Amino acid sequence: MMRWMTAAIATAGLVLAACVTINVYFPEAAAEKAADRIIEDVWGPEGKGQEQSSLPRGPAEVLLAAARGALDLVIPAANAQADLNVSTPAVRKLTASMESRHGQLAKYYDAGAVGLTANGLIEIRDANAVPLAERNAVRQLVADENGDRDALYREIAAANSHAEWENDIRKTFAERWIAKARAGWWYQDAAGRWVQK
Amino acid sequence: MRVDGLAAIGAVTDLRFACGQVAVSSGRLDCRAGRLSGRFGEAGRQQTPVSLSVLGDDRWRVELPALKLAGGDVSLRIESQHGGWRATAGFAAVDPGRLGAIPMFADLLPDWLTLQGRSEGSVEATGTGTELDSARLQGSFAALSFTDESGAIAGEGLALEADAAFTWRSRTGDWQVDARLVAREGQAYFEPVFLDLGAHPAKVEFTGILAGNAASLAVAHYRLEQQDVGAVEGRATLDLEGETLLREGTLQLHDIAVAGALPIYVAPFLVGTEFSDLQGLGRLRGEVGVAEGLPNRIAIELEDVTLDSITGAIGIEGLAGRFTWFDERLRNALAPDSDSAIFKSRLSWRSARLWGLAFGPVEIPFTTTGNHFRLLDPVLIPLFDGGLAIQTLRIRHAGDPAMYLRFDAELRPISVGQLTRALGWPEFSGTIAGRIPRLELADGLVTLGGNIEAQAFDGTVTIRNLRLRDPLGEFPQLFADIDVERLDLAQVTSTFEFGMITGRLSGRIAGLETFDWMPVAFDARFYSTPGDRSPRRIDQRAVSNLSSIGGGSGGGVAAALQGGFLQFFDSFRYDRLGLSCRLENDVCHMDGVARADAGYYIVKGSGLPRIDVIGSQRQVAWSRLVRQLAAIGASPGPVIE
Repeated sequence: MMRWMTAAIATAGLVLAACVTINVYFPEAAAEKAADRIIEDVWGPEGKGQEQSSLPRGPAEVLLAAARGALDLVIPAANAQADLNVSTPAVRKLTASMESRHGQLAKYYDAGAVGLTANGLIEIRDANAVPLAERNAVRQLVADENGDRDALYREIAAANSHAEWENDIRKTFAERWIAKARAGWWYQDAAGRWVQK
Repeated sequence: MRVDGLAAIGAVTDLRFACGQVAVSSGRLDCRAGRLSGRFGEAGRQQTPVSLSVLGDDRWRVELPALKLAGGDVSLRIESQHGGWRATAGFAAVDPGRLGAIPMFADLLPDWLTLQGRSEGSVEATGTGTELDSARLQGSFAALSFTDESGAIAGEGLALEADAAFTWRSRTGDWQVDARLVAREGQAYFEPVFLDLGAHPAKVEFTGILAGNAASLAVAHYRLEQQDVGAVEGRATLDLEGETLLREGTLQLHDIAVAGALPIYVAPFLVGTEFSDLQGLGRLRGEVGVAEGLPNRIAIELEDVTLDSITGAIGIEGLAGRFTWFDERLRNALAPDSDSAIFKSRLSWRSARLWGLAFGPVEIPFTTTGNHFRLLDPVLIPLFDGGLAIQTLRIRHAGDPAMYLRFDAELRPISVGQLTRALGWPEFSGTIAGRIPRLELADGLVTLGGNIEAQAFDGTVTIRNLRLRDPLGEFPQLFADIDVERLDLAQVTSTFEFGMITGRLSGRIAGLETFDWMPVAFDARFYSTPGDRSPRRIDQRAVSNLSSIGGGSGGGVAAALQGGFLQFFDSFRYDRLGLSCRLENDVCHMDGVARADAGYYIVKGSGLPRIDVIGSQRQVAWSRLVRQLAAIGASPGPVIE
């Protein structure tokens, strides 16, 4: 019974995806790949078993995965696989800047002081987890990191000559930052609640 | 036995009282060597010696020398006479954080604060019946920590000395307060201000009136002193229950040391702006007024102040003069009856720096009201051998998304050589001058409403569509289109030690985009100025340099030039030359003036002996091209024997 339901949802997803993706061509799979590459540069390679399983879990994710599968079918492979250009000097500089900052930020993610927001930025979640003398330094780190992240999303969109993709890129990154976050880090769910991974 | 009604402590149970020795004489009763024990509500189990004396008509005295309270020891002595009483308590090792659990202290401690520490000292209080008339606390607190839930307010390891006296004023129904507080150790954080009181001890003294319901404190006079920062005094109305503590007041700043005050009290508010790493020196004094929880008036005198950002985008040295600021409401209220001079600021500096540009001394008259700024008179800021003449500078809604900036200025001729040297570029000759019309700032983008024209190498360079994003940020971005016309190639090539080419050069750099001042995209095209009739010659070194750019081996060309009969010619005539580079994704897509068999002509020769420079590579990595260009400037060039 459950399997039948899933199949029905997947079919619905296919029809839906077929309509939507032709009008709005944002290379989501490519954007995810690009985001993962940058995130790995910034956060370093992941340890084993820390990444979230790519197998869908909840019904919503089943639908999403189905839609994505359908998208690969509907869109000619060449289009869907079109790489997003993320190797411009600006993107490289921003990535390097974030990578060097991560050395300072990591312990605050670990401590739960700083968390990942649903819009691809970071935020101070619990100032009490930061020693008094470091609180302003953390505020500065968060502000700088968010400045770089905003610029990164803008630059990737500009580098691919689609300034209007900025928001899609931000959304993709927001999902990937969270998906690749280490166990124990905190992130905001779609409703804005803090959740520990 | 159970006693209710002692709400001040809670229910008292298991009370035992015994006198070891009772003496009665002429209307006097003494209970000596007594013992008192019992469970006193939240104050817990007590067992203390007691001595009690009843001295006749309404006079008695009780001493309880060994009470336990909040983890510490308290000795209490109460004397009563004709309905009035005096209580003296000494305390040691009492944790103020644990007092909150006891009903009689609960109201004294804010419930949103978690508190912990050790205190010792004394309290002396007088009263009538159940009413308190006066109280004085003298004590010291050690290892004091506190925090609210969000971490916006917190303290750690604080050592405080306090002396506070409260006197009830029955006529007005409030308390006269005189207090003195010294903090010598520990750290405190009142977001975003971080105080390291160990490094910069602080002292505050005040006298004021505390409302009967403790909702507000009217401070008639306070004085705050912090080591390495300075002193502030004035009056203040504090709202002890609302959101904003300082509702109204004045701050007279006495000889504030900028070096100490800036990092503690200013920089934290600049986090997230380009100025968060600002450091300073010098002194200032003046007055700040606060109304309805917000500053409404600032008047300060600066004395030899230096401000410098560590990352180096801006810096000002020798800043002095008077700065005034009014909020719009106060200004409008004062304007009709005031001399307009009180609204005027006048600041001067010895030197100022923006990126690598050094500006000379200037005095700037201006007004700032609300978040608006206006330059009152045109000023000329010296810049190298010329200057920047500013006619208009007006900023409205600074800091708002709706921020508006208007800047009209004229660049008085500056030698390009000094400018390029300051920016770390190769030294050009010529001058730059012209109007800088309508510079505007909106959405973080600085836009120029017109062109900048520069005279260089006997030709003109026009910068169009100049835009800057994040000009003072970590990664400034610049966008522009640049036209060059009729540059004298002889001057250009000698400046860059490129060899020698004569003739004129025109061209255009379209869509120039830099990130962190490095070009990341442009479409550049340079060519011999059409119609120019000046002699066109190119020497051996220039030929070999140009061919190395076009993908040939400069050394090979040099060898070829010197090997055959060509070595007898210093230079050659050419018909025209040109080179284009479209930079995209780190790759320069190159082209020349015309198609050639195996590539493109960079130089099309003419006459005899005829030399053509033909480029073969269409795509060159930008980093490689930059290295090659740098090497050309440094190489001695082929040796002509």
